[in-house]
Amino acid sequence: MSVSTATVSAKVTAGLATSQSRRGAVSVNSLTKNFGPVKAVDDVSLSIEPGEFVALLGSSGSGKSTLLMMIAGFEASSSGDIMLDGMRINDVPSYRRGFGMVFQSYALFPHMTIAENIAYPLRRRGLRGADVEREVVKALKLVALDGYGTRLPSQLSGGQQQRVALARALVFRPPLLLMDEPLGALDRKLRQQLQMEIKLIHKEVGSTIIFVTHDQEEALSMADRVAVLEQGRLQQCGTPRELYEQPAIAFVADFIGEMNFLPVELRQSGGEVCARSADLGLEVMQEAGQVLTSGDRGLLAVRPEYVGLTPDERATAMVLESAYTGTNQSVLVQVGSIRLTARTSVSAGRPLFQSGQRVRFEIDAAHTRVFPAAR
Amino acid sequence: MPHRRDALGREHLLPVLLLLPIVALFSVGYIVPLAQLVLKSLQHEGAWSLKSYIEIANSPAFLWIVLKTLALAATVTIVCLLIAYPLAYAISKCPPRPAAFLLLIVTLPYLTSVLIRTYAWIVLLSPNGPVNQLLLHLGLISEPLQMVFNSVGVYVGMVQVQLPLMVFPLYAVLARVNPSLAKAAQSLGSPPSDAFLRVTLPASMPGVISGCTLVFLSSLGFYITPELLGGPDSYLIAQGISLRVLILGNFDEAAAQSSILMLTVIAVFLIFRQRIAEELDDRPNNNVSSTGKSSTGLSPRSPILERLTAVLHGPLMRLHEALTVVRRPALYVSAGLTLLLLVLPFVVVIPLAFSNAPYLTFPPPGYSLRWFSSLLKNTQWLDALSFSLRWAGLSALLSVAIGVPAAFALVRYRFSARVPVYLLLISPLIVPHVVIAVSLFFALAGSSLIDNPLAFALSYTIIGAPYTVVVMIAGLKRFNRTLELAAASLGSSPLVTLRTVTFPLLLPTLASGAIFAFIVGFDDVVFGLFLSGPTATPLPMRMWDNIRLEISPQIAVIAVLFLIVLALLMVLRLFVGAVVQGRRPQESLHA
Ligand SMILES: Nc1ncnc2c1ncn2[C@@H]1O[C@H](COP(=O)(O)OP(=O)(O)O)[C@@H](O)[C@H]1O
Ligand SMILES: [Mg+2]
Repeated sequence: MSVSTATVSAKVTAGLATSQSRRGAVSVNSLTKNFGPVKAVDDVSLSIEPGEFVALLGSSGSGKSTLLMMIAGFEASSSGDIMLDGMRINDVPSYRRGFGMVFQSYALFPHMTIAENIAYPLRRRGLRGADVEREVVKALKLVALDGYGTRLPSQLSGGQQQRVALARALVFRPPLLLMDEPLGALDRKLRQQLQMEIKLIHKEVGSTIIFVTHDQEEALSMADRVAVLEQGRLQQCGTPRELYEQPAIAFVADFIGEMNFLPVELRQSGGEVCARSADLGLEVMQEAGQVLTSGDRGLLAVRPEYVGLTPDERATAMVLESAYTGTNQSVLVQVGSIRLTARTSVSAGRPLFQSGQRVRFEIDAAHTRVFPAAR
Repeated sequence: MPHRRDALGREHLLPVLLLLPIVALFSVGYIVPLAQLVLKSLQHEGAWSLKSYIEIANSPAFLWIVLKTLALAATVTIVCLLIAYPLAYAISKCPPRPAAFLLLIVTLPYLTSVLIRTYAWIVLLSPNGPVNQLLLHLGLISEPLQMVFNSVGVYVGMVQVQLPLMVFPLYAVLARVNPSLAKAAQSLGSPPSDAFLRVTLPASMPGVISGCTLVFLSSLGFYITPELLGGPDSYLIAQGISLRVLILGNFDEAAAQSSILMLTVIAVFLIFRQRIAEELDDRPNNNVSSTGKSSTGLSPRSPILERLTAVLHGPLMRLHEALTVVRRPALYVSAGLTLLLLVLPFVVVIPLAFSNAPYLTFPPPGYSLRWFSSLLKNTQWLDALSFSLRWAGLSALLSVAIGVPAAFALVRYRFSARVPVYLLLISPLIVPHVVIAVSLFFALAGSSLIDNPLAFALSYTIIGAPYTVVVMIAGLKRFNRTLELAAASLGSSPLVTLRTVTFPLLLPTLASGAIFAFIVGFDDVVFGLFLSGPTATPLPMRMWDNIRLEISPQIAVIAVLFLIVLALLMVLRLFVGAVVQGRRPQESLHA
């Protein structure tokens, strides 16, 4: 251990929120990892503020874990830098980085009690006796497991084990907490409950958190910012709202929430672009900033809630299928060879749309974007 | 940590250092003597010559012995397969606890010395032994059958001795055959019998192959059972070699025959090495499709096997349907009989130890502890016992000390010599002990190391360490490495992680490895035959002489003591496991 016992225990016993205020700024610059010919992580740059909660979101195999493992120090990078509070840490071994880590499989030491598991990082930092005990009790309280200290991991449920893992990763007040799909092994209800708890704990301890998940709902609901990865590349990073309302590429638009993609022809007219589709009988004027392609064809992206439907016997569009979800009705509409989904709010007195019904549809131009045609 | 490379090449140095002790010891005590043996076989009176080979090639007696050995090994293999499969299948269908108990029953004879088991078969099969008595009683025969000191005894004894070697790999594969796979096949329209033929049986082929390879190879060089249970007509190759060395002094021919036996075994071993080296594979072993799946997702089956299956499928199906009614009872009866065969030796040996007769007779006319007290009064037996305990114990420690680092290197690092080194380290499991012992005898002849405990420590380690390596590799592969990552993230350097997480969790595996290595040395007869003398006499040599010269209940007493020790060791192993699973007093906390 490079740091002396005294310094560490001073850090450990300092106040919860204050000790974190300026630590835990993480950034990666042009970080790349090759596994032979596979670029698991491809030129990723990302900067994270102290205390920020960032989710790494992507489908399976997109490189989330590899990126996290490089930050944790378990995997060497092929090129690029990893910085913590302005210092390059690529060559610092994992056990000197001092980051907390929570694994999907909990990774509690089966031969130690819950209390010993939580005491483990404290002992490695030279804490002894009553100091250890006090911190362990506090950590157990933090995850609402007071009194479970003498049990063995095998005597706890999955959700409880993951809370112990969280307590163990936080008890030494790491500036940065890394979590790799920590809720992936839990059932839906427990997952939602722990999502809330983790958010509350984040508020309380103030560590920077990088949270890997493939569940977009989880990422959007938990994180301050979401970084979307696809095939090792960082596609977009922004607040949940930015990602939802201003997706930078079609992949993000498709991955997050629901999205209709309608093929359109594009024509420049002054400062605006006209997107039209003869098949759909559609013509939308777009500000140039909303059009993310320079070609003469594109995909007009519109979310279901911005597609309006009106019953109309003479219209060409027809309702194929619909699903009632309480406050909303999702309606799948066929127009020529194209299908699109609309979400209409259900109001008292208005009848629901029925399969086979003819409808007229309109698109709210203010909430559309145009992506390149080749997806 | 995984796949770290640094400029200093430490990543390459560490596995070398970990493997150095075992490779050094194997070089001195195993590779060099075997190489010398082969060189010796190629020389005659100091000059290069193929004389020995030409002589044995022209000897019809030798060729006859080779044929008999091959026939015995093949027959024993087939019989073992036929009776082990239903047992392994039945165990794999059992719930975990009964399955563990049944596996223990299979393991018990495996751990009990071949000498003791062979002794039990002499008692069982003798003209006035229990088997003949039963047959006479049932009126099936009118006078006792001669079943010992001829090939009948050898076959029965060999099958019983080798059976566990067949059950283990079969069970391992069958237990892995995902039951849902057979269920899936059923739900897709195959009737249960067809599901067995189409899914379970093909999926268990790797186990069949490794079981058959193990039993066949181990039978080829078998010495104890044929020597004790057989007669002049059942003389086999290993006996021929030891006779040439110990009685005839025909060293050149012994070297040539040993070389032939060894090279045959190694050749078969290398043919099937893919299967064996698979143990080192990183692919997850928890489902059957991992056993040789091509990139197309279809298992590569040989065209011959494919055609054979196609031809046999119809008749097999009909047979199977006909058997469906009796399928379950037949399975359980067959599995039960196999279990009976496995435990039969203990059924006679245990009462025999408490016999009050001054000579061997079964069932004993009455019971007493006279043979226990006779053992305690006999300093020769006690000296031999203490010799064996001491040197087999030392070898077990040594096996752990050199085997554990080797297993770490083989599982945790990738280097070009990995598979060859692995094959080398486990090869003493299949190279006949007679050959290794003869090579050591030649290498040490004339030196003060014959009739010297050190030679025993060396040879026991060479035959014991492979077990430690194999057991440890299995343990390390099962070990959840995320725990080590967790420890590192919590501030433990690699050494601290080893001390606080890896080592405590692997302690039970370590104990198993040590117990195996101990038993292998403690049971050894073959090295004793070549290396012992008046000052260095291990217990099995005393037992060997007793069985050959007088055959008394004394051996049964040793067997009972051995079983008690075995039971204690197993309890100890369970205790170590429990301590690891439970709390460790040093780090306990009153939170
Ligand atoms: N140790 C490794 N060796 C080779 N390829 C790997 C290794 N680890 C990950 N990969 C590959 O890198 C890519 C990204 O993997 P990973 O980071 O695990 O994705 P995710 O966590 O997003 O599911 C995948 O294509 C995967 O196959
Ligand atoms: Mg992952």
